[in-house]
Amino acid sequence: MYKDLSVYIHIPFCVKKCNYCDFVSAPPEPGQLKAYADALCKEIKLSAAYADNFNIKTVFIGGGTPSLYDSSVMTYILDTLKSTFENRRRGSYIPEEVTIECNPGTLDRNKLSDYKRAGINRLSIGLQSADDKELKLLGRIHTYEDWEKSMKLARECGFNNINTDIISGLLGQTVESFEDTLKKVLAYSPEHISVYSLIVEEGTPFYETYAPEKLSKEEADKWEEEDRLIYEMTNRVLSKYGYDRYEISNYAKKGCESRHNMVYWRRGNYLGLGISAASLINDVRFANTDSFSEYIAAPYGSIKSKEVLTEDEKMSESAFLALRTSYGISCKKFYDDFGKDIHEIYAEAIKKWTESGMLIERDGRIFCSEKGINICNMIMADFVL
Amino acid sequence: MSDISQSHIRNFCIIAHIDHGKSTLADRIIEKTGLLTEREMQEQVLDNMELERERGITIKAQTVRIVYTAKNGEEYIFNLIDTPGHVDFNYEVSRSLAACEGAVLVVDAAQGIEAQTLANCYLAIDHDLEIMPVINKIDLPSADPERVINEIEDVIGLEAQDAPLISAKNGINIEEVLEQIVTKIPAPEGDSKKPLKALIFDSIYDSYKGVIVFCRLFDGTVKKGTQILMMATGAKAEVVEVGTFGAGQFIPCDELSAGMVGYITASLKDVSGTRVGDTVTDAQRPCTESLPGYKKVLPMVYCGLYPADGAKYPDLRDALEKLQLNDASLQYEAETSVALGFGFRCGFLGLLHLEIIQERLEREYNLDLVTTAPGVIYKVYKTDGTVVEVTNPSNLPDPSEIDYMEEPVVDAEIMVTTEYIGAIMKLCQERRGVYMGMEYMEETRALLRYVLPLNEIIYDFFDSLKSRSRGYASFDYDIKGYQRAELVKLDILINKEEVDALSFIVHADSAYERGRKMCEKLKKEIPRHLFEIPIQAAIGSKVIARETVKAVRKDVLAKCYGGDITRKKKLLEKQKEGKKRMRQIGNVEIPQKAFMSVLKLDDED
Repeated sequence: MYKDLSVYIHIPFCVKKCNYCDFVSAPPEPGQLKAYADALCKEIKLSAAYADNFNIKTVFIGGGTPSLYDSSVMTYILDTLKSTFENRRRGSYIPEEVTIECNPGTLDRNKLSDYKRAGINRLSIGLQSADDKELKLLGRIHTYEDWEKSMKLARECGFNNINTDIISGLLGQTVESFEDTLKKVLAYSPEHISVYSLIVEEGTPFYETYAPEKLSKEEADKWEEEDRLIYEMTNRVLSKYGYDRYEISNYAKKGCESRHNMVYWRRGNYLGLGISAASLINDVRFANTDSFSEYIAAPYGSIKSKEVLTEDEKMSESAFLALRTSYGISCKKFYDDFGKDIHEIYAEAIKKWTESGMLIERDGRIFCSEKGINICNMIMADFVL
Repeated sequence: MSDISQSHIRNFCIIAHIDHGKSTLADRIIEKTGLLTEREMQEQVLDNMELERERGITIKAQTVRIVYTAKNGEEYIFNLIDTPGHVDFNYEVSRSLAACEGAVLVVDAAQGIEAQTLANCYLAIDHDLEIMPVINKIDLPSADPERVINEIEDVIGLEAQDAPLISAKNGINIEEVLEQIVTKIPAPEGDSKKPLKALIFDSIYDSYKGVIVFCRLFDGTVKKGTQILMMATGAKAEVVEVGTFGAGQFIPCDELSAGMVGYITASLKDVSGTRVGDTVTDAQRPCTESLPGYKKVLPMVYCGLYPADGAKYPDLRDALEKLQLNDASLQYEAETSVALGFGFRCGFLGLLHLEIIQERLEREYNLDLVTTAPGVIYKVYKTDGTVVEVTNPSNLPDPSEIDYMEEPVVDAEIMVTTEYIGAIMKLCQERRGVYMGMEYMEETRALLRYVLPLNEIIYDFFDSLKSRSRGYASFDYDIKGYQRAELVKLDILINKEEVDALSFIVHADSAYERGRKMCEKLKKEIPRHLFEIPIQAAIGSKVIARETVKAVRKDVLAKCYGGDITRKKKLLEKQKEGKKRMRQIGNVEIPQKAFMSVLKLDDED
């Protein structure tokens, strides 16, 4: 029996780092682009050990800005992945979903056609906001118009599965201004929309301005309240337009949920390639180094952390990750995976949160209610063993 | 041993302002005299509790006996008695000093004389000690030994021209210190033929030897088999062993005689019979009068100590029992709190003592504790004519039964440089101090005298004093007695439920302020729940302050971390870890930190 595998490929380069970004990404220095692509292919070839047991089902090329690379490089990387896995066994590289993240302003017709030929069938175009002032504040390199152009071009090139990322909860954003962004996105009816809340991370330029301790109590309270109203409005508006919130921050038209993302929430096997990429293979979590030089020197074997999960950790993860999805925890799957009744393991938590109406149990699954999603961290914390 | 006469003994201590290098010098002296090789030296041998080393303060007196061969070719016995360094332990310090003939005064070559330099110096002068100044840290670029020498001469009035210029850290000129100890510090002058008269300056409990009494012999001798009598407590016992102090070990000997410093073990079960400051004499042939200065040290500050995990109550009891064996000033008795369950009401010498015991319980006995607000002993005069003493606010009788109340007050002496007099007077006024007078010690230094309520100084008076005087104020106090005061019990209600562990007794005038601060602090500490939580401070049924913890409406991690679940998991684990350390009061979860946070209300001033 072969298992399904998802592959994440990290491209740590961007034209300019955004003000809120705390991912491993930076503008490339001379020679880095080529060195990194070579190292990545080397890691792919050396990770062939996995090819014996797995079939690749989804691929996600994320970053940074992967579309920064010349499309021939992407083609080469995907070809390497395919040949590595197919060398061992026919049919082990038949991905259903291959996504690449792109920035408006880095796409052109040739690039998109090349992507299509290389087998990429899904685009994730980062817009973040339809308000050019907000885009500037976020430190983005593009305008709303750039995104519009990219969307049109992508459709012309035959892409029929497109995601757009937007960020909510900027200081100064209002329900009205964010609704405007949503409407402008909806005008191009992407199949999938990810709405992330802005998290002000330490070490980013945003932290200098918006760190919680830098705001007055009134400012912070007002921001928090507006953020919540925006969050609720988002779900209202998007569901009216036929999008289903299938996970905390992901909305999709029927059948267009990201298969790759669902693997994370369902604890499927995934292999992360490239700097800082995280993997889960047979209940072992590991992640590559964050250091560019370390990675280039030893692309396979520069693992910075490795964690063999205990039974408790596995149960905790499968519970709290599933609670992020609208489907929730499947009681039967939990029993199949662990041989235990979930009601025994989490008796107290389930009782407490269903009684308060935050969790709902129906048809053999346990999931967050509309209200519960808003406070799901508190619920999920009770599912950590 | 016996061929070493008193003329070759030197009993001394080292005194200094904090961080001027007292412990480092002690280490060098021990090292130089070859008691331990450098390899065996643990950094700062004398501060042997982990806690002491970490805080950089000495809590218990430590003693070591060193043999030094002087330049004149003769061997000398040095008994170095290290002293605790905090006002809470002033009495212990004074007893340690009383066991010496001289004191080595360490002064930082860059900083010069500071508050504690003076306070310690005057304390030593009070005990008629010969003071031998040493200028330390001469290796610092900012060192100015000339200036410091002049300062010592002008301010303290000590001859300091030939004070050794040393660097204890780098081992420079330690030899000179040792030579001066021989030449400057007087030898003891006791009479071995007279009846035994020895001063207890410390006692510890050892699980093998039982109680070990640290003492300085002034007259007479003591050896195995001597029937000894503690003159103040009346405890009697037969001596099992006598000996002297190695570094961290006990070296038995045949006999201790006048002038010597050593230890006595006897058939004593606990340290309560061997009070610091008491006089040990021969029961068969007692001396006519005891040594002066003995006081029974009584706890001044009380608080509740509760195990965070209720199941650990027996462990806490065992731990307190063990600590008390070594620390006669620690008192405890069982009590119960609605909010916190089973615990103990404990009595301490002061707030530092409280903190130290608490930390030792947590570290050495691995206990997680919740502490209630510290208080003092109040005398409650009831309308029926009876008087009760209250250490726990929960035990305060109903206001209708109270005629009036009294609180303990202290005579406080604060030494301060003139520029900070205003700031310190303001502080004393805020703490309900009554000004008693001021004397100028010299042009730039004054001694302020106040009567202060004890419950106003147990919180953080010492810290405030230090911060408002930039470290240039020193403080000493004596219990004066009881004084009538308008006191009220302040209750805290969380989500309308009274939390007994947060109640405290306070002066009516500061109740409003305290209540407001408590509510503010608790608001910060109590996590938001799904519902709004009112926090109220009340006197009787009258609410005097209120804050509200807003309800959580949104708590979502809607960020894209890709497959990096570990970060997400860590956040949830942290959230969960926080929950574990909570106490459930009604339907509100209160973090244990909240109970502690009210101990330091004036932090943000």
